Amino acid sequence: MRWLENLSEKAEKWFEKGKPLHPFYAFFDAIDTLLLTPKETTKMGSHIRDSIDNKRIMMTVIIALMPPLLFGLWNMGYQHFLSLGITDTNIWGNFWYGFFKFLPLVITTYATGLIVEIFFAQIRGHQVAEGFFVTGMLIPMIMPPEIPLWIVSLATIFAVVIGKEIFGGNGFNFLNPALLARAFVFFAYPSVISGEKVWIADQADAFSGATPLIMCKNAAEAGLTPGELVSQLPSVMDCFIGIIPGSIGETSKLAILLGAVILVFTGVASLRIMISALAGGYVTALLFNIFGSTAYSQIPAHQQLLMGGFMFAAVYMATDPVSSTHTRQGQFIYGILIGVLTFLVRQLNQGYAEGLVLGLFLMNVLAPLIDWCVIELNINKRKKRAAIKLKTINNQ
Amino acid sequence: MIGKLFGEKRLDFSKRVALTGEGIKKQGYLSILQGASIENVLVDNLATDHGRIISGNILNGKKIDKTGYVGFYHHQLTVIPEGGERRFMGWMEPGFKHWSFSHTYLSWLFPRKMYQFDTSLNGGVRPVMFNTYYDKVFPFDIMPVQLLKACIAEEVELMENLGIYEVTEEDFALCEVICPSKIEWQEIILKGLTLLKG
Repeated sequence: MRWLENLSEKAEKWFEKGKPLHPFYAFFDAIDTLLLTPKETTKMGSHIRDSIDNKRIMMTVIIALMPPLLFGLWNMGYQHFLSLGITDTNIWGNFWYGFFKFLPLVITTYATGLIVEIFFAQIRGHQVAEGFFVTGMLIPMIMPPEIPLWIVSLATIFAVVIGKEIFGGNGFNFLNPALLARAFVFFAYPSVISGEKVWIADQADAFSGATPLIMCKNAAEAGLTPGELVSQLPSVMDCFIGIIPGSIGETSKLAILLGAVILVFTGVASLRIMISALAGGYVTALLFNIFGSTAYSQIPAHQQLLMGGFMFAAVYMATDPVSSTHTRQGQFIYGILIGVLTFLVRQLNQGYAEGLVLGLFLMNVLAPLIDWCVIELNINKRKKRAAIKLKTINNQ
Repeated sequence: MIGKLFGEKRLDFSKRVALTGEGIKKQGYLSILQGASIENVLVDNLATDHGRIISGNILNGKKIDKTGYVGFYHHQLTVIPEGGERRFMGWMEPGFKHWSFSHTYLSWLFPRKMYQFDTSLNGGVRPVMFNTYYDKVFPFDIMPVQLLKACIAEEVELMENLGIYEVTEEDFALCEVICPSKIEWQEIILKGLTLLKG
């Protein structure tokens, strides 16, 4: 790739300070480092470095997002044709239908987000950070397929600017930007993201496209008994494999588990957070099984875990290294509380059928506090140890 | 040296140095005088013109010139190829040739493979993001990232509480090697330690 290097060297001269194209340096640098690895070498300290960098990590997360994405695209087509009453579709027909529904969404998100990112990088004189690669893929995966593109665009801008850039950019955000985009749409344009008509693309009017969580919400309003509700819900197996209506990413728990294996094995995401979030959620659901009185609370705990976007968020969003806790011990508390809060909101406030957004945000905000406590504990432990040492020295 | 001075009544400034690294044709041991120029040692022995000469080891040694000398506390002379080669779409390669502590490159399939190391940084500098990643290579009961951040913020009390007195900068060498954000760990810790000295 010698010619590309030469080209980059020549082009760089146009973007140097004082040259007419300097205002676009961040843009040039983003393209340049995307195509070729950086030419910087170590200066002092360790003379060799690991091959890993943030681009590689983000790439790994994108790969881990592929199983739920590919399944979600197929499922989008399948659900669409199912709602029209067509069941004898082939696998590729379903997939391409979903693909062409998804394509505009993902292009809109990436284009808007990257423009904002490059703009801020240029103002700050930084390099464009890679975090948006993942955010830009996550946002369309948690949106309804038929959402107007301008709303996606607006949500992306809000998420990147308010969620990240005003606090200093990638690495300084305390909320998960992708989830912030969804929360923005949920609170600003509730009609496009709630109800039973939004989760299947172009569905027939007569068909109920209710996700399991919406069914539960409706059941509470209709006063169904637990038995009636469970018989309405899709089977546990359907929920697990993911042949249910829902956003692209969240439906297939099997694909999410596959992604989780990739994330944990490559060391990119924390297994501690995933496991403790699931455990926290399961135990809470189990407690509601025993003590709850509504129809929803009587659904078996394992089935409750498989409903909605809880698994997706526990694997891909709760483990965001920036907005989660920064200490190992803290990660257990953080994960457990995400599970507990999500299921508390789901059970006790049917207005927010998906309690996850609130649960995860609250824990994002609390994460620094948990870290502070863990660090203080560590300091106290150290002080105690130092005191014991001093005592033994004095005694001798 | 001091032992020889009193035992044999002889002032002996020679020391034994290991010649190591891929940039050297013939590795081995060598007896040189303290502070002697390495120019004669390395002549005809460099495998590459474009190499980095390090007094000490690759983790915390000091970069020196061809006409430099081996430092007083160093007993090793390392030469490795200078990096900076630009690879096309490096972040998308399957990566059989590249070593990584994480499993993000497919080279984990071959745990016994030998790698060629050079001085490339392999990425751009970013804020510290993967906070629990460093615990795996840090041996002490100290929180490395929190101590690093305290050093950056120059919070002396927090640094003391987190155990800055128990470390030197070279304890963080492995954190620096595996750092995905390409932070200069040793430099920052050294700055923190210098701050405490006053």
